[in-house]
Amino acid sequence: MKTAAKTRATEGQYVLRLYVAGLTPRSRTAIANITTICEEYLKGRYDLEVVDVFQRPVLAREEQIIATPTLVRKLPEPLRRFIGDLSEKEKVLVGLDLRRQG
Amino acid sequence: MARRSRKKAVKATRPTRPLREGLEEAEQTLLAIRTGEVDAIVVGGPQGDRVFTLTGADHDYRVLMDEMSEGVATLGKDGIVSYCNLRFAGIVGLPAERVVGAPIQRIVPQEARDRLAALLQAGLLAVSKAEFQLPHPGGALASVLLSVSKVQMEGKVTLCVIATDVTEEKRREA
Repeated sequence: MKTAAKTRATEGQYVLRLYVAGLTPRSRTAIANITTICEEYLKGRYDLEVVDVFQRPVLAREEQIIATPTLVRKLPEPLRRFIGDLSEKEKVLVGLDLRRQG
Repeated sequence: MARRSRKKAVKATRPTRPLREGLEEAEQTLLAIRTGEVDAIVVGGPQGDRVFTLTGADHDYRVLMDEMSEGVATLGKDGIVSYCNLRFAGIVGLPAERVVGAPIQRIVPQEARDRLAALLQAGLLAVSKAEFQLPHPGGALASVLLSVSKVQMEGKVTLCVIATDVTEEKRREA
């Protein structure tokens, strides 16, 4: 999976992985928030995977996920994590380098 | 109280030591959680702290959900899948992480998308069913019966899609 993510790495391409825990309210909110942000700011140049930690515990451990929801920005580098349901849109945008701070 | 004094100390003239101690404590806490040394987490909220235990009946339900023979997925009114069990992913021939967070339309071929949209629309009013031919990796076609119904989750309209693989039945009929 790591290599697949790497090969998709082209200029300006975002590879995001959202870790959730099934059908919990926060998971649902996080999915709704990140899909909205992606469609609005990254349309056509993002690769989003939503991983259920119940279904993929090994992957969650490899990525050192300790709480859900957690969004991992795998590309562009450096790798970044955001914990929470991503409701603070401005913070997420700054963290994803989609908006200048201040 | 402890948190407060640490904050003050960080602002003091020699901040390195308390900062390092705080960092160490944070790292130890994370490591303990990650390695399974804890079995409950206390989470603050408007109604005070709540305790979440990390083992319990939840896990058994999850096993049941993923092992059952029918596929289950939920989606919002926007058509984005918010959850699917592993069986659903298997029946539609896509990895679960490619189904969740994407439009449900992704599971059917281009030419069937209008028919799926109509099914979802009908599902908002009454339980509705339709059969679809879904291409699987490797070229095989699966006959899949999709049943759509409306449920309420936290006051939000949610569609529940049940997928049943009827390929074998079809073959026997033929």
